[in-house]
Amino acid sequence: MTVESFVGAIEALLTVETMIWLLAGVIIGIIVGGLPGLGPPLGMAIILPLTLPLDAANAIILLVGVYSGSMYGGSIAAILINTPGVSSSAATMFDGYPMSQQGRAATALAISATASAFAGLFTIAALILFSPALIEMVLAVGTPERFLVAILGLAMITVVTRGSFAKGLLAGVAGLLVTTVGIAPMSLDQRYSETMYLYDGIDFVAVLIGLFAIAEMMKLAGQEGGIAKGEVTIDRAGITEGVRSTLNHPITVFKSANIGMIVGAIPGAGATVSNFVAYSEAVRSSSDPDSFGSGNEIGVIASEASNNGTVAGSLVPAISFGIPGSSSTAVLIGGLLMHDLRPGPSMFDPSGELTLTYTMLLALLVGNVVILLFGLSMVTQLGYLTKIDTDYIIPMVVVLSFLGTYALRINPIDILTVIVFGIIGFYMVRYNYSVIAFVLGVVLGDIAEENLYTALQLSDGSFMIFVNPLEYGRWLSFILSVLIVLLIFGPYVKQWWERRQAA
Amino acid sequence: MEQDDTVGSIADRVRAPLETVLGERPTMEHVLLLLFLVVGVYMYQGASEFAPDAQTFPRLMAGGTAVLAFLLLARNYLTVVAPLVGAGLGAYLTYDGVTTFLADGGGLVSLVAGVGLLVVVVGFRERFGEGVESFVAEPMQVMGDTDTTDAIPESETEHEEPPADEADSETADADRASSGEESDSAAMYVYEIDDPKGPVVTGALCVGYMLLTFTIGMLYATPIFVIAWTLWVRMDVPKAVALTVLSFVTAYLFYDLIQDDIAEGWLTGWELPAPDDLLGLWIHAGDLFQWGVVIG
Repeated sequence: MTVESFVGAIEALLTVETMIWLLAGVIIGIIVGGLPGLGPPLGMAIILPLTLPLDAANAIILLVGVYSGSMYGGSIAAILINTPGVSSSAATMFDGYPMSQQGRAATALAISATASAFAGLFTIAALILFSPALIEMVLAVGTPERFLVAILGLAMITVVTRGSFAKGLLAGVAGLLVTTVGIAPMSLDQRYSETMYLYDGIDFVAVLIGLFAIAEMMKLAGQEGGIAKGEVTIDRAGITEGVRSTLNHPITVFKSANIGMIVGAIPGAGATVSNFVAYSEAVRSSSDPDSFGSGNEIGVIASEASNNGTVAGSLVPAISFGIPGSSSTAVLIGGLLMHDLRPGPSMFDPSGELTLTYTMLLALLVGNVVILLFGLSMVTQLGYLTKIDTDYIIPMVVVLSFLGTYALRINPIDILTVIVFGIIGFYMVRYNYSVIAFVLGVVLGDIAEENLYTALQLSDGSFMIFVNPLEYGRWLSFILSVLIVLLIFGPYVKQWWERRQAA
Repeated sequence: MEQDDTVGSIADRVRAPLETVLGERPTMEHVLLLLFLVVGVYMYQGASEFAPDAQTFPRLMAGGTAVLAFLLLARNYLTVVAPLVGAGLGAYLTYDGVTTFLADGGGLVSLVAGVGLLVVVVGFRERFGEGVESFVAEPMQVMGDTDTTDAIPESETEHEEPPADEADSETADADRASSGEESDSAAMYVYEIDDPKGPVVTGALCVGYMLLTFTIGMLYATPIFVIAWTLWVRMDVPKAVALTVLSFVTAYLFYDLIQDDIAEGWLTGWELPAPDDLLGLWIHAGDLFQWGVVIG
């Protein structure tokens, strides 16, 4: 059945229409990623409402194309003007920009395209290869466990953010609270629906657009710089050198891609963390660590291979349990939900959506080839992206956000939602409240409540089903509960123990 | 954020006693937390009206939101506040557990948790307060670099002048918050704001765009918003015209291809003629003129 789904996915992918959407997604992604200040979640959030007329497969392919393309696109601004288009390319600046200053911009951009594409190809292929084991694992998880996995994901995000634990937790819980407005998932009660415009609840697409587009534009409106001041010279001759350089460092590509994949699978960590980890590892394992920061090609390879490797890793918790590994996968989950696809077992069920899952993964595989071809052939033109002033970008992003949101349901509450969550998102980021945790709550709310409801029905309303394996026989629930407690209180207990030992 | 004298003086008059009483400078973070607190309490209270099955989840989340927002608001006074909150929560859980137990034999978890919490709060009051403080506050806050005015070193307070400009002090707050090792984390990146007016004007223009959409529909509200933006950033006329035309074409494509209801004002019901209608009128302008003459 799995093989049939895989073959079905290949057939679905190899249609002209699907390939056009994939190509469009990757190119839009590269452009969005290349524009300083924008990034994958913003690009995906704006595209999200526009996917409504498309069928589910093409919509998801378009979104993953944008995701993958913008991961590469982010390196363009990082290399050419020392401003990462996306935070996941921050480490690329360290050596990419010095290379650009040395007149080797084309080499750096070619390295970026090649390393991104190869790492993406390798990690997606690995994900497809290991998908049967992943399917077994996902299908073995029951309803109470799925609720606990959602809470575990939330706890992990708050731990990964490392600041105030209470801030991360508040963001996550508040996100879950947003989803309680409207019809209750199981009992169909109307909740907090003082006006008929709230009968269907607060639209998560509007929330995502508010948090990622409006909040980002408000931020961008307060920032100066980020635009190429002078003429950036990109010499085509360096392209071959860049490709050769990447091919000469297969171990760095392989290692960084793996780091990206593993870190990407941790909820909340994402490509921002992975590209620093991969870069640090490249410095650590180098025989000439002092050369990093002054135009070492290996630094660019490590950073770029890791951030595209993250894409595959972040998809694992996203499609398995609906837990986004990053902001981008949160929007991707939003896209799945918008097209009536539920992350979880059905995405791995041969009689369910397994074909679509494979189509998505294969699309990413092909998308990386597109990145390689497009990235290498357009190297000399990519500099134009860094010259577009934010004064033009901001109004167009706001316009697209408003139009996309309003056209979706013609519900005035959605416009209000975009603005309110835009302002809330702006201040949340400003004061270190995890927006990813908030988004996780918004995306996960209905799924978590459904699973909680079903679990409590199994136990006649007792919460002991999560912690008492002797009575209910659910050992995985118990283990997950222990893990959650350890994640939340472990650092404090450790701190207390160390202080006690020292005393 | 530029404030006029009246607004500025009112804000100062509100801020001054708060600073004196609490030793804390109100920022937009306080507003954000207050919003979470009010919404959490309101939704917790409102959940009691739902059917039992539909109220568990919203109550848990609303309660969590309210408690966490309150703890963060009171983070500088947690050694005093936390035991009181703990005792209140313990008493409530105990009461809830007892009443449920008497009603249907359930509620044991609440009862045990409530009694346990009361014992911890009463027996280890100081340690409980310190524990909650380390849970709520960021490491640097525990170490003393808090947002209380007392704790700000002189050099930093100088850096924040003028104090009446709240936006500037917010920038300084966020900058302080951004310092430290956690700033490199993916989910909590922070940023610099060079011009505090930018976000405020962008937000205000978005609100104006919304109001205009509700009045005359989004088709024509869109170019008006873009014109307002180009005026604010003082864009060159040819570029401003090009951007406005581009935005109108985008809105028209949405109108024509995706949803023609965007042309109608939700509040007023007004629907201005679409460009193609106007074009139709122009084509038939001669006929209309003739009819006008005949009628006249």
